[in-house]
Amino acid sequence: MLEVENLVKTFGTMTAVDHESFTIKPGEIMGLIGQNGAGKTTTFRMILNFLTPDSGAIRWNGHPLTAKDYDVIGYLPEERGLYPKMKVADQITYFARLRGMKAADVKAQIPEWLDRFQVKGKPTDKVKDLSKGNQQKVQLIATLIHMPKLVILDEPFSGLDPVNASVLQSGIEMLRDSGSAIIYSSHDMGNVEAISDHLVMLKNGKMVLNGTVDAIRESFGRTKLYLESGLSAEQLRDFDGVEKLVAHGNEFELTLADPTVGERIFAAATVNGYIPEFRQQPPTLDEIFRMKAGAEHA
Amino acid sequence: MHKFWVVCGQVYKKNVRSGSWLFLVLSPLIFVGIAGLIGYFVSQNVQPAKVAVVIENTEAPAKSVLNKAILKTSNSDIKFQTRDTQSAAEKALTSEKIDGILTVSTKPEIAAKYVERSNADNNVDTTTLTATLSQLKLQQTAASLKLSPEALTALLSPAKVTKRTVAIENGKQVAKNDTTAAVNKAFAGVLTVFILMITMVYGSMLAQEIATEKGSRIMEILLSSVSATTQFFGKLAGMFLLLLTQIVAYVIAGAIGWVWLAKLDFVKSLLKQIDFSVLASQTTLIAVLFFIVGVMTYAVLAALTGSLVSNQEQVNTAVMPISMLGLAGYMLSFMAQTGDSPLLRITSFIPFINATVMPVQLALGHAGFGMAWASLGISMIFLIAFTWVVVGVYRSNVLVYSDANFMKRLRTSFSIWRAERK
Repeated sequence: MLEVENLVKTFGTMTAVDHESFTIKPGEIMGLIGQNGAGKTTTFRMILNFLTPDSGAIRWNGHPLTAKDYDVIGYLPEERGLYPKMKVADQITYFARLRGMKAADVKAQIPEWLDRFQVKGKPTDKVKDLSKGNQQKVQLIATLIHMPKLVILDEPFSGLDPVNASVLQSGIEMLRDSGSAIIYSSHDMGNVEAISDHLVMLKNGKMVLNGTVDAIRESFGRTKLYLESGLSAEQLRDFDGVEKLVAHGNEFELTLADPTVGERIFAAATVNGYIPEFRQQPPTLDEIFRMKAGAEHA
Repeated sequence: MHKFWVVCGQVYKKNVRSGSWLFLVLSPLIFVGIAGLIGYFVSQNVQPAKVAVVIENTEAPAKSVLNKAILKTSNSDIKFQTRDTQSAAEKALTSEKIDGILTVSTKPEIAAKYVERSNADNNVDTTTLTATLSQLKLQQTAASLKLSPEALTALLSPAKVTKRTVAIENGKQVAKNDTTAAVNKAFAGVLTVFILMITMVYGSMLAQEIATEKGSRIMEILLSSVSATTQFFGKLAGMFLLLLTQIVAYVIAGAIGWVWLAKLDFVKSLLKQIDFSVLASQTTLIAVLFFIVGVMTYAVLAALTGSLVSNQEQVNTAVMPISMLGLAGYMLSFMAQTGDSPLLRITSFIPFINATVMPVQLALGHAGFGMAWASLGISMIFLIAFTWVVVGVYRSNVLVYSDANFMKRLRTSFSIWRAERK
């Protein structure tokens, strides 16, 4: 279990991380979101002991994380790097040996992992001869092959196409199922929503959101309404509490001031019986992210 | 310790198979090999002069003894062959099968005449012939005088004169010989070039290795797997294994070449003139220690400058300080060969530069052993302190990615290092 408690880090006059706290249990995935410069990478670097926090504590299974714990960590930095002239198998073996694995064990497992991540390339290919997407997958394998108990992924989805993103997602889920504690950062709220058990959003180093994805969304109330019915745009706008209306073909997307407005619209829309769509939801994570990130500018 | 060897092995394996390292090691060997082969073929083309020996008015047993004695003196310049009669020899000369005829008569005493073909490939030096025959004549005379071999040796041994060269240092005579000084000077000269080459090549290899890892962000993964200190020393050790491999390769190549070279007469005679025992002197010991400390200091500097880059394009700027310092040391040591100066006396105590300057100053007699040991001591203390600081800075450097100039980046990394130490 990773416990982060009241972490503060300043660089000169700038506060990069301001009283950050969260806990990740084994078998749990935590998404760390926030704009560029919000403090995500600084958080990771403090967990990895690259930076020393000004105050606060980081504990792994109850004790501070030290060089002795390096073998249980899997870390994927935001900007990827591999040795271009090295063979895929040698590359993975080197990183895995640095995590304490035996060379023979790594070599035996490489084909299975290349298969799992659908890497198009042979273990004997040079890294530079692979496509960018495949290089990224090789890097992921190098990060995960030793089955780390604490996985730290900095923007793992960036640059991946939807197919590869889902390959990565199942890789992350496989580690979660084996009991790893996983923390990752992302800009893509779709992925965060799909796989995170827990979410922390940072803004200028401060935590603005903290909780499970569902709980966070529900806390904003079901103020989004997607409707396809006999009611026209004008009729909908006349309802008290409709703040915004956007038409997508026959479907209208409404932003409500209050969830109860939905009940009145439902009654009016179903006066004549069947309607194809009535969907009242909390705002998506993406909308919450924009809302929170833009709060200061607004 | 396990991870130290993983890093060390990785650095070694990666470079030992690289084209640039193989070229570095093999190019001098290939160069020397080609030069040797050319020399060998040239020497093969020089055939010894073929000289027929004809012995006149001498009885059969004495004739054959003499024939054998002359044939035995054949060497790379002259090859003797016997002819029974003058006419047989003349015939061979006319058909240009031989280069000359040596006609020897034993009565009243050993004397000879030599006829040489004017268009012979190789001319025979008559002093060689004279020497050969004089020796035979000496033995003949000694035999007729009934002298024992010991008596002959005693008669021929020259008076002995020994020579000793002294230098006057602080009003005292100090034994010094020209060969020692010459060998020391040559040794220092070779050593300077060697130090320059090794520090520049290995320094830039190490700087590039680290700069590439940092520029490609591999460093962050490495530092989350292994402590910066272990990684730092693992890399240094890997580089030293490479250097050691190169030196061993040269020693083996040298030993093989030696077996071959030692057979050549020219080399044999040259080796007799040089007393290699002068190499086993205090000067050599100090020079070798300076070499080791110098290479290590440059390697640590290389690690520092390599860790300061932000991307792969800046790799060259990481190598520059090493080249500059290396060249400065080389120029100064070059200057030292023309004479002593206050500048040299000061720089022979400054770490980085003293590795090349001090051994030369010492070999040329501009500095004494006391000064050399003091300078070496300064270098060692500096190396320990420098390594300690660089190991600390190295770790924080990984986080400094900026486009600022070299000095500014250096200052930033020092301030991070200080902040982290609080």
